[in-house]
Amino acid sequence: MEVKEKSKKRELIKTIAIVFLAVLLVLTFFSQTIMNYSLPEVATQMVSSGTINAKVRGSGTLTANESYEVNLKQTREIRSVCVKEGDTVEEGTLLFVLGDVESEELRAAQEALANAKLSYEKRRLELLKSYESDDQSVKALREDLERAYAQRDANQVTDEEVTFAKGDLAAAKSALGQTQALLKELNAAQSDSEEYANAKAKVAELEGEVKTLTAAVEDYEEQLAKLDNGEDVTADRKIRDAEDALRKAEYAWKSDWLAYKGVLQGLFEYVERANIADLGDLNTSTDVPHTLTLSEQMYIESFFTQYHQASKLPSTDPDGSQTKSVQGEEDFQPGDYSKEKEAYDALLADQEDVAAKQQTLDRLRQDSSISEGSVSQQRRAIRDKLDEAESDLASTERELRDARQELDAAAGSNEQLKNQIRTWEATQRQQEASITVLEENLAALQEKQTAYKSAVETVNAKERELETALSGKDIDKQLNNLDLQTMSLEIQKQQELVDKYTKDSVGAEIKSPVSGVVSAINVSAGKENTPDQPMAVIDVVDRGYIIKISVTNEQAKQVRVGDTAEVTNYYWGSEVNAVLESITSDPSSAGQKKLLVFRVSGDVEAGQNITLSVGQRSAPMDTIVPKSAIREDANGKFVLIVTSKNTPLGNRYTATRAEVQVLAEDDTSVAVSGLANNDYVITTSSKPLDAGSQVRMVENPS
Amino acid sequence: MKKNRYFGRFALTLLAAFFALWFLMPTVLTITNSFMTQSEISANYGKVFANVSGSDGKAYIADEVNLKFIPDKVTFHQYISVLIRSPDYLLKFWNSVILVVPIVLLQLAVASVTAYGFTRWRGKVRSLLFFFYVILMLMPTQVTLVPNYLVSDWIGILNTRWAIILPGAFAPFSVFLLTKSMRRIPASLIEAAKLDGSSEWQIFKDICLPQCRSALYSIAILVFIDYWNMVEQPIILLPNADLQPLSVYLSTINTSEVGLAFAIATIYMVPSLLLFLHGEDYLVEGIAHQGSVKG
Repeated sequence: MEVKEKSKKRELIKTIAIVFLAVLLVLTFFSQTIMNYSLPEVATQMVSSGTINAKVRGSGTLTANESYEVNLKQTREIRSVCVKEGDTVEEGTLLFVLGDVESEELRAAQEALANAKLSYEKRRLELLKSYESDDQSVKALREDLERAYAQRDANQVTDEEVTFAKGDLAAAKSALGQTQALLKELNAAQSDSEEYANAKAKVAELEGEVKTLTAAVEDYEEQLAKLDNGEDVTADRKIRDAEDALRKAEYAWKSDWLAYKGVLQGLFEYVERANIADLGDLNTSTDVPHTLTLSEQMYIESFFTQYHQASKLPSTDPDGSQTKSVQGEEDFQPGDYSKEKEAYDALLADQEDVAAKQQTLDRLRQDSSISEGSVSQQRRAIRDKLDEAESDLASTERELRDARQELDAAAGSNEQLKNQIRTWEATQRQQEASITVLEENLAALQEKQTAYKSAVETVNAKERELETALSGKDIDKQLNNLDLQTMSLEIQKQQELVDKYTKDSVGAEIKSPVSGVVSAINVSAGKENTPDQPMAVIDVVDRGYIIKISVTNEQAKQVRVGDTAEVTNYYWGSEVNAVLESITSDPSSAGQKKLLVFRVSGDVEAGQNITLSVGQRSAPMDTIVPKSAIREDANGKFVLIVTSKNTPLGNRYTATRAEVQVLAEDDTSVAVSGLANNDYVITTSSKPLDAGSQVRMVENPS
Repeated sequence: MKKNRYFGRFALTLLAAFFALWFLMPTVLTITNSFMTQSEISANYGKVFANVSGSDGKAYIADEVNLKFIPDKVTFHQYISVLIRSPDYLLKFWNSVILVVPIVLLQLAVASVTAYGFTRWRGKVRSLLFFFYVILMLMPTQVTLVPNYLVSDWIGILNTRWAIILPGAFAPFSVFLLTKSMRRIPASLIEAAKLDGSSEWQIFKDICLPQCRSALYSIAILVFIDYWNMVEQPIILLPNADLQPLSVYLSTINTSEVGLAFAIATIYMVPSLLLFLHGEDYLVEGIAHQGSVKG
């Protein structure tokens, strides 16, 4: 039994072993296939020999063939930079605006000029001194010269002083003009002050209203007090009282009317006769009293006024007859119209009184309904009215206050204007006076300057005279004269320099001296420039551009000066031409490389990067590979070549790195060194390749 | 008294189990780790390979070696790589097979004939020869490597499989073992065969070999395991990496292939294991007989 089990077990193990080995065998059989499918598939090409149409390629940056550097020999503050890099400028375009600072160089030049003058004078005086004993005439001349010097020094007036005086005068005149304009404005403002009159009228009106309202309030308060005191105030009685009062007033008015009529009638008649004033439509004859209308009142008042003025005339006419004796009215004294005025005023007062009484009566009648009610109702009604009247009074008083303030303000501003006008008129007078003084000063200065110039001419003439007198004495003198001439020349030079710097310091602008494109600006606004460092560089466009390309010596042999290069990365714009102008050694590579200099013309700009391709001569090469085989990494250029290895399961192919150096290339092929003739290089691959990785060869369709 | 005996047995069993587990541990570790991902293995055993090229410092490596039996994530990725993705490991496996199977077969053939000779012939020359065999057997493999190399080079088989197979075919160990085994065959048995008119070949084939079956089996297993695991001989005598067995590759693994190595080792132990299981009984029997042989 046991033996049977054992043999069963052994059978099982045997089966397992067979299956295991069989599986491994099958896997081994297919493993190569499976692996091959995971390998990158590559196409290869054998290294060949032949000729290559070598083209030298290279890229570089365009620079202008000629560029102009804008320089300034002084240190100056740059106030503004008017162009930016890349701008196209014409000749005369403003580039920089400079600050009006006196520069270091100007100061130095002025100092040098002063020193030169001083040494010149010193030298001359020394010479003059040494010649003193030579000639009496010289002495006389020298005395003349001294006098001329004195006159010159006395009248020394510089152009600056005159300019300053002119400037002062112009400033004073402009100040006067301003003052005059201001005064004109102020006067106009003053004449516009109607505001003041309006404010005054309004105040008067409001004062009247306040008075009326105060009376009403007092009346109501009185009524209220009476009610509180229990006094019986009935409406009927009040009305009756008011009617009585009205009647009385009317009566008084009528009597006054008669008096007025009687008094004024005579006056009117006189006036009509004397033709002093036109009475017009004034109803003077009616006996029935009537309320004088406002126009009538005004007319009568104006009549009084005219009459009053007529009374002030001389008592005799030009013809000598007396006015008062006209038409024989001896008893009438012109100007004495107080009686008439009194009667008129009384009539007016009566008239107002009647109107007031009538108003009171009306109010009472209107209020009669209130009096029918109980005391409390009455009180309430009166209180309502009182409240109303008080509120009206309060608001009116407020308005009055405002109106008064406006009146005060108007009065104040009016006064202020007047004060200002007075002040400015005083200023104007002062300025006029100062202008006069300044004009006088300027005239004096100009006169002095004229004198100075003539004195200088005199001095020069005298000097020349003296020098002529002194010259030719001996060789020493001639030599000394030569010295003096040299010094004089030096002075002239320094003077020119000073003039130039002075002109520059106030000129304050730098303009482009050429037409072109601004390629660099080395200064910025607000800072100072460094003398002799270019502030800006302007590429002169008309002169074309150049590009420098560094190539190996081998490559340089394949091109000739005059070859036309093809621009390969510049497809836009118009045509671009590049011609090889010179071949020089590249200073940065110690003889290993050459520089190809191309002249580029066409639609290009400085700073552009362009790639050129040049050269057509073919050269025989031993090892040529397709361009696609060349790879490049940090260690340089290389190709991957295929190495094969025999294994029990067939050939294994591995990509191996081979470092190469490119000798020449054209559009499709590259001639390299570092390969053998029977090497196969990998041209394309189905996956990214690394050196050392296994590959599988592409299956040829054939 | 009886109780004491049971306790003793129990204690011994425990001790045996402990040692059994202790010795099994590397095998279990190899098998379980073959299912781990490469990154997990690197993290656990990175320290062991820290000096080996390939540790680029990018992956995490634990401060101490961490023996792990249970994978974080069971994966067959290593097996797929070994068995399907690349033919390299399979080729090396077959290299092992191609080297070991001829060695075992040839050695058995040579050893059985030699042992028969030593058994049947008597004399001083035999004793001297046998003595040499024993001396040779006692020498370690490393000592014989240099002479083997020189001889292989001299006869022009260096860097071919014969440089491994031929020295293996004539190894003395199995001769010694078989001689001892054949001497156990009773002389009367051979005498009877002789009387019956058997030739020497018939005696060898029909009487000796069947009698020594268990010894042959155990020799085959021992030789197989010995050569299945050889490293030095192929490195010295077979420098061509394409012909080297898988055991050489296993000895030269680097950090990035530790995971693969576990899978390969697991696969590699399968043939030995199957062979052992198949011939387990013979092996035990054969060794037991050898143990009882005297003189």
